[in-house]
Amino acid sequence: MPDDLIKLSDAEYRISQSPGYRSMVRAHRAMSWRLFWLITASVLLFDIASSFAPQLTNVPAIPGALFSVGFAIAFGAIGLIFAVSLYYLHWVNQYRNRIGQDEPPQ
Amino acid sequence: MNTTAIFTFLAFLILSLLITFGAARKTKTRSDFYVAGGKINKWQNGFAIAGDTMSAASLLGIVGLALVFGFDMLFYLVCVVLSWGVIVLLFAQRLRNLGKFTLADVLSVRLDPRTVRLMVALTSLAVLLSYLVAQVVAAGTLVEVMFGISYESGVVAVTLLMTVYVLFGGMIATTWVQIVKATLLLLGGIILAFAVLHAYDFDLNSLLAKAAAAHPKGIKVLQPGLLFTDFISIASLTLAFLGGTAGMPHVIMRFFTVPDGKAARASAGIALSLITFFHLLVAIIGFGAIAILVDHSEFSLGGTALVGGDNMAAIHLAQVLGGDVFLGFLSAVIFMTILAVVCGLTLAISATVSHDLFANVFRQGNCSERQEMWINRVTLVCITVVGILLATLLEGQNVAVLVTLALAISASTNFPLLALAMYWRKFTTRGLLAGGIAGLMSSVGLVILSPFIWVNVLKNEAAVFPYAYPTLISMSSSFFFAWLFSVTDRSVRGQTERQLFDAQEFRSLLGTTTADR
Repeated sequence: MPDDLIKLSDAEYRISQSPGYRSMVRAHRAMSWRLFWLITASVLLFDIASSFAPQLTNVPAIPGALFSVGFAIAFGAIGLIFAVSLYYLHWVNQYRNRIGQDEPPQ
Repeated sequence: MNTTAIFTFLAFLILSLLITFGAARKTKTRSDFYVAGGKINKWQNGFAIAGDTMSAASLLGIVGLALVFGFDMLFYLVCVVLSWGVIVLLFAQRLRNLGKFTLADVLSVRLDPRTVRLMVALTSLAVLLSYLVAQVVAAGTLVEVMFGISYESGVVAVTLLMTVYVLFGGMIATTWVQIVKATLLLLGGIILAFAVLHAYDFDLNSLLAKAAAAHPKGIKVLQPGLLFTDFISIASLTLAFLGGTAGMPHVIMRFFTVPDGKAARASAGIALSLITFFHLLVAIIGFGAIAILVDHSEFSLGGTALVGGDNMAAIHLAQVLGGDVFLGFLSAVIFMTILAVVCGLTLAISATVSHDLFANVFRQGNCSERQEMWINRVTLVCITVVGILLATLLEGQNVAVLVTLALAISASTNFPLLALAMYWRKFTTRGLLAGGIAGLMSSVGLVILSPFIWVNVLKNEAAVFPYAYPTLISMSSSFFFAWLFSVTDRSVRGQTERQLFDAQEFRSLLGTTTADR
């Protein structure tokens, strides 16, 4: 193995084999995938909604109502991501605290 | 010439020079110069990151776009905020735990360091130079309108000042200048948005009704469709921001300035809050610009054309609502904004050349800190010359559009490589090379063939590539070739790199105590 690539110390290797660490990694990977799909879905929805918005909003109405529709489309995705991110951070921290423990998290 | 602007500007200039020379005394090692020794706390870094994002493109460019295209400028605002969501959730902590000075440090944890550094240096230089030129164009335009001197003189002034800041103060000075500037820009944004709302008795409907009545496109200015009319353009813009921000080398370097991964994620969260708040202010200012400036006797040239171009919308609005004093304040703040952002960009460019290319590719780690720093200084001088030349060529172009082109290249090159290296076990050096080349060639090629360069700059009649941004195609091609060349990599080296993924993941999640700062 080349010298300039990553190596774990003995202590780090032992931690990496512990059940607590492994369960954290599994949880982390699962949450990363969920977040990835959530962000992708939000963005896709935002893009599709925006593409069709001219047709949807092309009716006589007061300016404030039109603006509200657009604003809701635009910032809805952000609100969704913020809400999930708070949940995500709580989740990851729970698992991170279990590193090195022999018992898998409940 | 506005005397308030000159005095305010001089006051900021003296303050930032004092910061720079104070920082110069603390900059003793290579780590101090590149990443402030990793001693910046989460609040300081959050403000500095927000400062990097709240650039001239945000206030000058997006307000300018709002003036011409109305609602569609919201795409830019939403995408900027969304991009930081991605960084906070998926990138910040891992970047800090894996990196040291530059983006290439992160990628070369398990991939071939020489190939990685060479490839990433090419992509990073393309991204950073495009972004740098956008900022310098804004500086030249601003100085021309504000101080009555030529565009070229403004360009030379800002590039020379940035060289002084970075040359002496490195990352410590750049960070502190960003913190001061971000605070002042937020203050300026709050005052201007407040003034706009005050002018319409804090009635948003009244503001929007006036905007629709004043704009040549009428009610359509409050609907999507004036700037983007097709799914490909909208998707490309979204992807450019989502991936582009996370792949910007000067943004990534900021995560190495904090002590650990937790602080990196917290600082990204703080930055996200500040950026979201600021961009909501920009939305109000944008519609205020339409309502107040479109039929203004002094600044309107008919339709949505303004004295000094659409980039000057926020500046003119400041003068109308706050008089010469507020105009002076805001102009000086924006000039400092540009200066602070170009300092961060210049630092990232010089680090890419001296640390990645010179020290690790050409000398293969066999060079002293002093030699590396000397190359860094030479690079700074070269950047100054290149920045002046390119900015002169692109005079008059919209700053937000220029910045988005830089983001499109970043999203098609650095972002796919970074995401795959951190999250995909099967990614190998061979895939990185193929993905990087595909992303770089397709993004730069399509940008040149797009209406922005092919028609606006090269003066051809019609664009070969009809869409504004290339990201949907170029980012997809980068991911595809990186995937194809990774899964077909049967080399021993490729197998080793896959085996090292677990160690990389361990380090990216938990950090390390062995970083040789």
